[in-house]
Amino acid sequence: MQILTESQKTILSEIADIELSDDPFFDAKKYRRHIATLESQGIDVVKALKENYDISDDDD
Amino acid sequence: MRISEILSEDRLIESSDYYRLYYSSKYKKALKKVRSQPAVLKKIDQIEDDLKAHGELKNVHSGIHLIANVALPSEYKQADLRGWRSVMLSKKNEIRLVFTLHDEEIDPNTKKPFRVVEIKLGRPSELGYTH
Repeated sequence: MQILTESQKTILSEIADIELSDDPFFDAKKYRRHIATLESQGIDVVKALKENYDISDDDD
Repeated sequence: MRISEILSEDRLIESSDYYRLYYSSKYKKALKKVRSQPAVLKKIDQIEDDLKAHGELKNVHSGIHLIANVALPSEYKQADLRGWRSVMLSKKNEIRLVFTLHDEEIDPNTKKPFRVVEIKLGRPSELGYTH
């Protein structure tokens, strides 16, 4: 399990909010920016979403 | 109408959320697949900025083509539609961004006109066409 700082947890929660939303007009730029921020800090976002929010993509 | 008035109207339209980007249901999943490709992400940013501002591509010039003679499914219109444009994002993994500009509508709440730009991301086979 990846250890996240508080600020990383906050960003991940915002990514998760977007993930769980069905809004097709979502803020894609914010979503990408948040993912890039965590990835640049060595966090595997896909793995973190799975570990913390049980969010995964079917064929990943 | 004078040209200055037309330009003025254009500026008003472009600054008032006239173009709304509608992302396909698999857009987020596709974005995660390219999350470690900065060049691809940068190009997606440029494309989205263009589409949001103009409803078409004005600052992105390469790798664009019309998907001719193929109707792709529109989640927004719930129908297969022709006239989509495709932008090559990565030759390596064949990722494309495809988009189409829908007709003008009136927002029932604000009563203001808007147009939806529907966007998909993925490999051609995932998007419903071959190349």
